[in-house]
Amino acid sequence: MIALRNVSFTYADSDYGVKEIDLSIQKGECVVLTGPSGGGKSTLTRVLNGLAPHYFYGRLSGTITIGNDDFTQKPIWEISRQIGSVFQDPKSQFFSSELAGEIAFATENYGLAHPEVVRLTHQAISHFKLNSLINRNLDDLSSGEKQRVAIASVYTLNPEIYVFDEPTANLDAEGVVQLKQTVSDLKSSGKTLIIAEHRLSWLDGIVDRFVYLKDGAITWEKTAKEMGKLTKKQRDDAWLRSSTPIHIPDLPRPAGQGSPLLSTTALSIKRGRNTILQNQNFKVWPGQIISVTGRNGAGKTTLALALAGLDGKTSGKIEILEKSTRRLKRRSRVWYSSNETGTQFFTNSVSSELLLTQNLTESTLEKARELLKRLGLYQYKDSHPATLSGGQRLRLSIACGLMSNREILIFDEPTSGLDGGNMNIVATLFRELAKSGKSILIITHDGELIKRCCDFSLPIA
Amino acid sequence: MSIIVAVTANVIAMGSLVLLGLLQLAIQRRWQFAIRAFIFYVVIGALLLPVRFQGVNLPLISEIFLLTSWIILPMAIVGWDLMTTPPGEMASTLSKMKAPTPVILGVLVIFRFFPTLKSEINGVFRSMKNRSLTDWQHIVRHPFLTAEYILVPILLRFLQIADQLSASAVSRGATNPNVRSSYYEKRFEARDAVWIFVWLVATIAFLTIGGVKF
Repeated sequence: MIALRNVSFTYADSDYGVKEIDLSIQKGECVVLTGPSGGGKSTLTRVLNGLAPHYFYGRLSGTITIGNDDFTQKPIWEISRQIGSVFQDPKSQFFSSELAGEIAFATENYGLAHPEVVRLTHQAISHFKLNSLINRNLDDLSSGEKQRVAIASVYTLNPEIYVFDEPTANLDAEGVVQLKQTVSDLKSSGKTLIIAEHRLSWLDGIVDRFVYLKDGAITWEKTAKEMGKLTKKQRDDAWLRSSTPIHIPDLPRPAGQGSPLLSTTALSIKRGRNTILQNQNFKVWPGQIISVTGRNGAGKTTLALALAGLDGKTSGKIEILEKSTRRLKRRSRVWYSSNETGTQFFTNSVSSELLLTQNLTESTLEKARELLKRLGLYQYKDSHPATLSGGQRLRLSIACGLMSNREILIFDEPTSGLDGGNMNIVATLFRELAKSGKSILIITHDGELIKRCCDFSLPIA
Repeated sequence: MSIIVAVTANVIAMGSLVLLGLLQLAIQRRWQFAIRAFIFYVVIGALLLPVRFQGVNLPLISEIFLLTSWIILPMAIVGWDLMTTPPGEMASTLSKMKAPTPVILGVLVIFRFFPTLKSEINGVFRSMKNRSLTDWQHIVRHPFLTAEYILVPILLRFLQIADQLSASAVSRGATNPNVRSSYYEKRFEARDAVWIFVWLVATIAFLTIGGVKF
């Protein structure tokens, strides 16, 4: 059993952290830490796996015990043998490009004998059904496969406790399904699971208890059953997402009257030598919000990049306002926001990022101010974009799109790392923007977002 | 060991280094790579001969470029040989040599660096296109700003990735004081020692005979 008694942690370079945490977790229990962005979920996972204060320096007080062991006195490499950690971005967790080498990494660090390293590595590979991927380069795996490798590499040490910090933030829909299966298996094998998450519905049937953190403190705890009884209003007030799966509504294909804003005729897209999409015919009218859906690897992002003139070789026709529009022209008329926010920002403050390539009139400044306020970024207006959290960067990317004045906007999984409150704000902003005559395409599997703002659906097969 | 900064016109000295590099490839049975490097060497040599001895000016190809390729070829051969060694095997050899864990992890990180660099640069260029920062008018008007737009996000992204990677290593026992073991069983063999010795001798000989004189 894990017991935290009066635990507080403050980061060395700020007054941010968690305070007076009292939490007991039983063996085999699955506890989900949730609450609004910046509430202290990630910090609490770091306190549990020892990264705070051993890697993220700061002041820790209170006691953390596992069984009868006092964990506050142990070096981190002893903690890590009992508590395995899985992080947000599987891509930046890897030390090797080879699957077996990566999975063996932890056992190698502990200096286990070579035959033992090999045995544990192979056991993990077959347990997580990774055999078919063994000769593939890790960089080429899908996000879900990468996260599975990350979990397998922790599994080799056979820890009793697993701590996950927003494990779905960088996963696509299929990746989330795969993760659910893996986490569910760990639970049935009796492991204790602690998961910090915004997206809650995938945990349905696995989670035992929700712990709600706000402003660094635990505000309340609820069982899965109690959580299911919250009304939508209560959830919205707590900035929470639904804890039960939301059925993706059946929406019609885009239809409308008058001249379409965007249309494609017999559009095929090649990347390198591979034809990714063939014969795509659709029309989009001003004011419409369309969810672009389809299985993993169907070519949704490829389509988006091609429409925005950013990548891919196209044949067939892409018309904007019934005029065939070439690649370079499309770049100034179609916006594309990737959910990979690491390489999207170029300036040294949030406000100048938003105003980059804008004419600085009073009305643009006012518009930027309003957007930042509504997206909860105004207090960070002078901060460097690189210092923002994942969710904040995602909102900044969306804000840049909304500022861009382009007629067609495409957002790629815009809500994967957002809490319920911010998802609602983003949905409302999309609605308003559509009302002003723009067309919005959203690549998403987020049933909640689709329900809130999409009118049509464009399945890509 | 074998990467020497050498500028010399001594054909025999340069040639022996290249031959040594090719021999190293041959012993590892990396035939395809060895043959390509050899052809490259012969072609460049053939192009340089008339320049060197008959004072011919080559059309189209810069002579400096040819000479540079000629000079760096031995380094390129062993460098590429090193770069294409599976990082796991390299880490294994290093741990057999009882190298400290930080050194081994450092080597592993360097190997991860290049594929990451490639995908991040692609991401940055795509974002620049998306935000109209690659329009030629913009580049011509603000060349330094453009360079900054490329460099700053890449550098920051690296800091970010380095931070996440370190956290992931620390949480998987990287700070454990034990000697690191390895999944790949790559022994540090007598022939490895021989090769280190051979390159050491070749390097010293090269510098004494034809290298940079102070």
